[in-house]
Amino acid sequence: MTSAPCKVTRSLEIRAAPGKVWRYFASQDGLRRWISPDLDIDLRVGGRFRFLGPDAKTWVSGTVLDMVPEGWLILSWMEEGQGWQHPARLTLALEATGAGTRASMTFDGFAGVGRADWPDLVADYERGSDQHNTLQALARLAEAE
Amino acid sequence: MRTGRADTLFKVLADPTRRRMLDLLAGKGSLNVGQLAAAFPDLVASGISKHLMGLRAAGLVKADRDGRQRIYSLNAKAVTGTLQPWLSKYERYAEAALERLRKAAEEDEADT
Repeated sequence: MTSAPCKVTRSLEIRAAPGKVWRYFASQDGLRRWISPDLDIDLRVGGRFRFLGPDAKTWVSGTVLDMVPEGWLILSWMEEGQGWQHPARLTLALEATGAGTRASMTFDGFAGVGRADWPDLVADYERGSDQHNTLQALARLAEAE
Repeated sequence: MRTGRADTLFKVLADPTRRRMLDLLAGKGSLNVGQLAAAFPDLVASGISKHLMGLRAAGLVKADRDGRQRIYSLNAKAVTGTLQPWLSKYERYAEAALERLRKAAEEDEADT
């Protein structure tokens, strides 16, 4: 598969309405069922969260950046003790489909985690113009090979 | 260890001088030390060498011999070799988490 090197996206179809699926976004207990059983989260915009991350060794912590019921939950995402200067970002999104709901999980902003100018980089992402992103430039070279 | 290589990569990228070197190499394709040094008049030769060593250690830059001098260029394999394996843990995590979400939500649906 081909994808941008600093972005990870996965999605799948759920045979349940967005309102039903959102119940697993709307509380700490709901999120613990699928994000991580040891998740602690203050579930409001600006609230903090922390849990043992994807590799089961590294703690991940961050802040709730945005939350829209039955729409999305966006978290900043920082691996602790890994030399990150700035967080990446995780977007959990729901979309109604004919048969139910499409749920997606997108990690992005990884190219900025070691960088001191991360806010500029995010602005670049949002403008859709990340030509100054060195890793993207490297990736284009890799794909051209 | 692969995770360690990615951490090195992020730390190397944290430095503005090294990022400018990478940007220059991305723009020009390849440069020798003299050409790189000309872009950084404030840096002594040993400073240039130190940054180039850091970039090479992280696998971001490769050096090819051309007669008596080294020609530096970007190493595109840094992404596929270092970053992609590191990102794959996130891919696996996203797949597993979504599967748990689907199972929980669809079980509810079956109960009602």
